[in-house]
Amino acid sequence: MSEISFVIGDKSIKASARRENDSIFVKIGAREFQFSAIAENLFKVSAGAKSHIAAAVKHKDIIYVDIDARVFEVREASSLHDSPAAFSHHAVKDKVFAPMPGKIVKIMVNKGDAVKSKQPLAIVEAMKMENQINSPASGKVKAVNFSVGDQVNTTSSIIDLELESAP
Amino acid sequence: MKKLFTKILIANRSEIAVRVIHACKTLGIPTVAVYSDSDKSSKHRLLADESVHIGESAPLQSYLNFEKIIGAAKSIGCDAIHPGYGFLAENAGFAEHCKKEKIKFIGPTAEAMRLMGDKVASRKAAHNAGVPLVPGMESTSSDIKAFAKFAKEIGYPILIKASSGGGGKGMRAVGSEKGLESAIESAQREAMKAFGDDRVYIEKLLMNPRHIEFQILADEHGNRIHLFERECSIQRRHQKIIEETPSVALTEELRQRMGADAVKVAASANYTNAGTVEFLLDQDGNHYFLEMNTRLQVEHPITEMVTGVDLVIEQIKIAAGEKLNPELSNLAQRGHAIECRIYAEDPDNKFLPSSGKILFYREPSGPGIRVDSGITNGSDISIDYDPIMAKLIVHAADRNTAVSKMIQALNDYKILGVRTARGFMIDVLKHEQFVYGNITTSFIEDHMSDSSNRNGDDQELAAATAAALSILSPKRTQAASANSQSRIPSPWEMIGSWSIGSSINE
Repeated sequence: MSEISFVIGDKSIKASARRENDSIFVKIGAREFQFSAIAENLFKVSAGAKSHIAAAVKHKDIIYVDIDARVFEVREASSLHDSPAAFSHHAVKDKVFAPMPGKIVKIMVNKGDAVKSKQPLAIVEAMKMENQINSPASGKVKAVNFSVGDQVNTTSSIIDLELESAP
Repeated sequence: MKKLFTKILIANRSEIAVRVIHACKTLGIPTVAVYSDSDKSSKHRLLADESVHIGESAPLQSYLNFEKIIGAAKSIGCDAIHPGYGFLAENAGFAEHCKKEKIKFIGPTAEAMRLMGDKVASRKAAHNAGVPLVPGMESTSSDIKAFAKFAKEIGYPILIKASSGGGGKGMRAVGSEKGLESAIESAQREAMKAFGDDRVYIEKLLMNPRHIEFQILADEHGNRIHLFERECSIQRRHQKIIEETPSVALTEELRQRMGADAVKVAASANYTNAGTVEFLLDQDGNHYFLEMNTRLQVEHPITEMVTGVDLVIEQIKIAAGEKLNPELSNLAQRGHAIECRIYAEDPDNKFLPSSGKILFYREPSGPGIRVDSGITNGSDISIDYDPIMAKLIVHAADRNTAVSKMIQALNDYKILGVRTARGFMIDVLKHEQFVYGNITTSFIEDHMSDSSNRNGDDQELAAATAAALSILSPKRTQAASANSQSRIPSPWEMIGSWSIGSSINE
């Protein structure tokens, strides 16, 4: 019997697992699931009378699980020792990120401009679709880090803001 | 079988290129794939008999580059090009260029494409043929004041559409004059990028219509037929995601009338080959001509499932000068078919494109289940191209069974590495209003924002699966390296160069 703690989003889930013949039994709270491997990365899961097919792959510390047409990103709690903040940079309001990787087609503001919350700041294009990025808050443009034509990913800030101090 | 063509080049990529290759193989015609830098190990390249590299990943350097594609066709002895959909499929200049080089373009003539591709001119042609239209501008303009004036006349909400448009590109709904100018600019920019033409015009936005289209086949001898309708009302961002046929909204009488109108539109353009006439159907059962798509549609498989006709084979026969088989005018709709489009997109993040590497891929199978896909394990989903990866199509005797079969097939379809809307589409298929057939183009806005409709969100089950994986393969850290390390190579791969009956070093 081994115990593993997992994190999905902001939820922690504790699982205990044991191996018996060709099956793996996993217990979470009062629920028990029986797994049999169908192929590499593919399982039959039985919970009661109904069975599901699940796929799971581990890639760079994240276990991706596909079950009932939903995909979950599961992390082992023990892999989260380094800054959990790295996962939540989108909550930072003074930096403006692209919603998906793409190319900048328009930047509507310059350094020093005052901006209002929800004001359009830039347009990023990917897969032939334009997506407008709006300001997450009111404030002043501190820096514009990219220019039109640049490729951006979702982790580097396109525009830095100096937020209006709270009243 | 009579020889139709010597060799066909497929000027496209991904699932539609694969689909066309299948039809060519059925007809015994050799195929040539073209590919860009990022498609070097793509499925369509591997399945074709031969392949030619045509340039860098950016579409303008490869799949949109006339010279390179026609150059490839000539250098390798192709006498026909199938354009698939998107890219050059509706580019009249390309069709003309092919004709000049004596290569048959498998599709309509440049003239028909130009007339129907210009949404403003095609509306005029349909009107002259006696087919009803959605109220809209009779010409495009470069003057924002002209747009504002017209919008005021027909009243908001209005819809901005690209004159060369399709697939929701360059399309914007505008509720009041305030948002008009920026919406027009943005639509123009997007239209320029998608079609190389920034002309846009305005139409009245009908409230809660259904989107119903008719499949047309027309040979080069004046024979034209329709192959019934496809209901394509389930859309997000003006792009279809679930299509079905037959439509529950059509009576036999209305089906006959709309089908006859669709054939009239095709006739008004002297249209040849496969095409689709799109209509909006309002809540009182009035239909309005929307546009004609002068290409094979993404959703063509559902028509194939209920009619038994292989539309790509028909396209190739028509292009080779054959007459439509007279038996095609006695077709019936058998059973019910549904298609779900599998895009690389994140339904939890406004359906924005999701790019990356496919870490795990497994298609569903079973009676009446068809998957048209352009991807496989390890495929890279690039930001350079349209995010469609595959289409899942089911066929059953009746609508309820088809819906259940689709839900099961979506559950069995496994894709890891990029996000898809499979779960979201199950929520749509299980929604009470969908089950009743009460669907309109605003279905997703109207019914799907409520997360209580969400099925299959069992995080504990997901964590349990992660635990099972950790126990079974504790040492594997990365999918790709795991696959290559755990695979036992066949002796044939390790033996080096060899041959039977002679020495290779002679």
